[in-house]
Amino acid sequence: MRDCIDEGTLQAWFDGELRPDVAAQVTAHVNTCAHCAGELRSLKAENSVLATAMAAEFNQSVPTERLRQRLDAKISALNSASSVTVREPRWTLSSLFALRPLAYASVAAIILLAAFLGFVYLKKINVNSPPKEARRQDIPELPQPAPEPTLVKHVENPKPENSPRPPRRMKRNTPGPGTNEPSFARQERDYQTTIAKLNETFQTKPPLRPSLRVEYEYNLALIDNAITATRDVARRNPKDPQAAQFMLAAYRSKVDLMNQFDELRGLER
Amino acid sequence: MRMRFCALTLLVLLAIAGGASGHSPKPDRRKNTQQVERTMAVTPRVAVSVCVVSGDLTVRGWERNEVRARSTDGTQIELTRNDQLTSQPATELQVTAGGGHRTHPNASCFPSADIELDVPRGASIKLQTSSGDISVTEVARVDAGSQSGDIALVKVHGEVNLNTISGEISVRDSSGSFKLHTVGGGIEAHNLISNGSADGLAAATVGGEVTLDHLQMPNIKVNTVSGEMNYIGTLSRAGRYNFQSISGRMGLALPKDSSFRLSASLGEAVKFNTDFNLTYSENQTISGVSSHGGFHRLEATAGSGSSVITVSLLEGTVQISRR
Repeated sequence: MRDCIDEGTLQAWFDGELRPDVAAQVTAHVNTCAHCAGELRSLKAENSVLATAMAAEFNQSVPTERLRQRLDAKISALNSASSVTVREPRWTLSSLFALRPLAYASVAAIILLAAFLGFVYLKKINVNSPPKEARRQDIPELPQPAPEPTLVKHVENPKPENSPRPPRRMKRNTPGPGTNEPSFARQERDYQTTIAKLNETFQTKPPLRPSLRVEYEYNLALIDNAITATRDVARRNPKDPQAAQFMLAAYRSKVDLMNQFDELRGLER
Repeated sequence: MRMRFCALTLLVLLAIAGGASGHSPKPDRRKNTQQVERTMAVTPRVAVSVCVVSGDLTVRGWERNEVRARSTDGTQIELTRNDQLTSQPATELQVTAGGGHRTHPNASCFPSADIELDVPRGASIKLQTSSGDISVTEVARVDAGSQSGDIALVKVHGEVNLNTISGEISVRDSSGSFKLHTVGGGIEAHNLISNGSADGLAAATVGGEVTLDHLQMPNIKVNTVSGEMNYIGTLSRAGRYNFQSISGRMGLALPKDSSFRLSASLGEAVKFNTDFNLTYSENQTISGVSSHGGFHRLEATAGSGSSVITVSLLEGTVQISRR
């Protein structure tokens, strides 16, 4: 009982935010600790209730972080502009009248400058962001989509955060579970390609209902943790086909799950 | 003054009424107790299908060669034939929306309805609901899917294929072959028997619990990613039992005189416990467990080994106990 995992760590595990080794430890502990398993179930139930209760909000478009940053930038620019005008009362009335055209011109120039900077910033975002990312600004933000870490973790030299998706050729450079078992490595790559394609398909379809989304993300987190654990074992035992079979079974479960929810997305609308 | 008071009172009342109606939940369709009923003569092995986005589906087998469909919430329904020979009893039926009621654009689904069906016991049933429970009693074949509802089957005697996302699956007192799949829900199967040697049960879940209680099936296969599974009861002679999970607890409670051959692939951290007097294969250590490349391979026999149990588990516990 005293070794039990705190709620924050469990929530992080649930959200897929833990490091792979820590996640594997949590998974192992939860499997043997009835108390923590119960805590995890309650966490799942709470998330489900929350998602149902917030369904209306989740389904509305909300400003993304990027949009917020743009708004903040503009507001701060306008604040700096207004701070010029705030100082005006300290001047004498005559100087105010004398400098009013200049003040107006300054404010107008600042606004124009802010607009220009905003335009340049927007252009930069459009160039750097993939089209799908741009489209996703119109849909609700999902809390930490789980499939992405799986793909990123597999890449030896992951791209920076802004990178849209690791190029597929990079995945081919990744060593498989065993150099003596090329078929397993190939099968793993095949699964990863399939998962990446399914992820792409998901972006083009309408979002799931909140209750289903919670179910999807919870079970995806379970499978991702299983993939992490089995991949670790497979890499430690490159000559053991049994280890690779466990890993491939986990991948298969993920593809099955994604296919199942992909069909649901089609039926939702 | 009196006129102003009356007008003010009226305005306040209107505002209260408007506010109340604005905050009231969606109309409760269950309060509509009007029943709509349709009946049609059918063949004993008729195929009937229903799809509902939101609502419960209840199917019962009866001795008559006719289908009776009833909506218990007043939804207008029709029995639509999908076969060609309209002069004879129907062989294929679909419950559809009547009275110009708009159906789901993708799958001819009722947007919302609670539907009860009485069908011949030899009927094949196909049911689909997004959020609603499915209950089926005494029919031949069932193909049912739900997203968040539970599926319960009793006394089904044929091929069963059940699929749900977060609902629970329960099958009792039935015979035939069973494919049970749920993502997050649990699976319970009680008192099932096979109709032939080709019959079997395949159960799969990601995180749910699987309980198999008193099954007399020659082929049983259970797959989970991270769920508990329990098998209670006897083993069929020459039966094949395959339990596979990545993490979780596997429990088998078998009769004392059970005869089986156990083949297990267990991760390093798996705890294996049994009170059976197992005879381990020659190449195993004295404890019966040997380590090979990070896995424990276990080959052992109880009795004459007439049935085969295959276990694969990466993390967790395997408990095979006598009862």
